[in-house]
Amino acid sequence: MKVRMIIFSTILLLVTIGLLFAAHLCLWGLSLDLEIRPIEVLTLAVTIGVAVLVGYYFTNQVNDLRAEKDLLIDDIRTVLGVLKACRETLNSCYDSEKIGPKSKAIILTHFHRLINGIEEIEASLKISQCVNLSQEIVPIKNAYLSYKMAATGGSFPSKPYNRSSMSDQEQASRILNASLQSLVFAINKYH
Amino acid sequence: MAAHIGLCIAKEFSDTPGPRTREEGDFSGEQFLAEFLLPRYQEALSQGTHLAVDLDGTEGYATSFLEAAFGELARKYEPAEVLKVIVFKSDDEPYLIEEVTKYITEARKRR
Repeated sequence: MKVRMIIFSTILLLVTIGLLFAAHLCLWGLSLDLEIRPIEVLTLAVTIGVAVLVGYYFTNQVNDLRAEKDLLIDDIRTVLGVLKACRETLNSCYDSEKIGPKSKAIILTHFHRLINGIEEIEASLKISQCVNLSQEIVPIKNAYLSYKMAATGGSFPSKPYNRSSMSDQEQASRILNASLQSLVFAINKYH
Repeated sequence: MAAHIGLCIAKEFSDTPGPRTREEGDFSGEQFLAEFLLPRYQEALSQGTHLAVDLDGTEGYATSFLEAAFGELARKYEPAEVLKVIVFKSDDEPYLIEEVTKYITEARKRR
């Protein structure tokens, strides 16, 4: 994008210089009027001033929005990381065919961090320029609850996970993962 | 209305709430319901006051525990009445209040 801008500006500058030079040499019927009129100088100054201010304002707007988006996306990435760790812990419990006290505490901590992370994203969305996207948190919370119910409902933690329970967990975690990723895409597209 | 009755799970029951039933292990939801939640709830009902349940300070709650305690309470009493009497506090995990409320309102659909 920057390279294109530089090329475009260079071409524009060269054409302008070329035209001025052609006018100076009176080529193609062109001529230069060297008389300076104050009103025209003032108009030019105002035009340049407005162009610079408008450009500056929009550049700042775009930069601010991008910075907010990056912060929000970082928060979602953190939650996605917790979700991955949670899934790994649940898988290792399934593989070892038991849920010991330590694993139980780790699983509950993962779910605690997951939901608190989701609520942090919601709070950040509400104070950001992407405030309209805060409604996207509702399906994410529903997916979280379905996942927690699949992983810590039933006979948790007294009986190990069975194949059916693992299948429910996998499905629920995929839905949660997909809804978090779709929020990332929505934030990126937001303008 | 009289001053509310309090119930702090971490201090009065356990900071490591356990499984669903007594047979499954210590500090179960069933035990919590029988020994703490139900008596306090009935006391609050008889006094016409609120029961303030403090959920903070534990290592976390499994769905099995919450469902066995609060879901079962909502199967014994009207869910709407349970939600009127019980006031939850959860600063560590604010969403837990919404979660428990869901177990209460949907308790009768589950069994």
